[in-house]
Amino acid sequence: MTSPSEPEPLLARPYVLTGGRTLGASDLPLEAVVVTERSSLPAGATPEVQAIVRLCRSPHSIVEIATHLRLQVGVVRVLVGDLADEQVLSVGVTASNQLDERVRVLERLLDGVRAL
Amino acid sequence: MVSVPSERVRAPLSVKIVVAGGFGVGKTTTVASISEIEPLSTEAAMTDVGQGIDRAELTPEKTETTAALDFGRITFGDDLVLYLFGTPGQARFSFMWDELARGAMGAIVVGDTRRLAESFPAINYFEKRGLPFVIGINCFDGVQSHTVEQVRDAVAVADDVPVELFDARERSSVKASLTVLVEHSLRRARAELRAASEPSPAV
Repeated sequence: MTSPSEPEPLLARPYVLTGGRTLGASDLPLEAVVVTERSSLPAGATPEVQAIVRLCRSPHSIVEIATHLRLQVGVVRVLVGDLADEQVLSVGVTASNQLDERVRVLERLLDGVRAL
Repeated sequence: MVSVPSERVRAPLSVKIVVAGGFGVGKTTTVASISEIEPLSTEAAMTDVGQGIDRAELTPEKTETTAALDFGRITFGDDLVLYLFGTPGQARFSFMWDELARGAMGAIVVGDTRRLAESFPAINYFEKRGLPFVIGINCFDGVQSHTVEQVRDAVAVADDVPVELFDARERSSVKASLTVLVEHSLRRARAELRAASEPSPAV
């Protein structure tokens, strides 16, 4: 179930962590929730990738991943984007720009907040 | 031989609300009062690696720009998660506001009547951005030194913007403000939806 210990904080240059790449899913919102879909790691997974896959066995948002693993948000976005492309992770939906969808989400949120 | 379909943890829908305001005005307290987790603080390097490295004009110093960002979380059932982001109200952190305002459900501007002007940058920003917000005047020590009307006059916001007195330390009080905000955002979104579906009237 839960891993026995928290992942070690990772401190390294962001540029190195993303393999020198800078673009990718840079639009992933901070609050987007990430869940690990399969446990088999991509070949040559770096410690950072392994840590993300491990952490997201329970759902964690982009900003939570960055905080827990002490990685820059930009780095997390690139790595999560790649892992989602490889279907190792799935990324949850966030608020859309569509008004009818926004109304629906706000109604659901209002129910939730009132019931707190 | 039973092949159990692995219990798929589906990622829930997640939304966010911004809690803004001047320094030391009670943003973190507000988030802490209602969050289900101990608020996490991150020196969130908001500037993307991508943006930082791709744009030649950005100096390395600029890509290192960070600002402390507090956030809390409220989970509603298994399909909806709300993140509350407490963010510095100073103009110099505006790079972070764009990030936070994008797709946000609304904002709570926490104010202190003794230094209301510190909440102006946040108010101006959300007005310009068209993000629904409420003004929550944090009554430190339960002291209410100004009335809602006085505050409303001072900040000169549109009539439909709710101005509330609240106590950031009280969960029920924060919950009430949050409810007012979501109601306000919902009213606004419904009105926009109606306007969008009607033929535009001649003005």
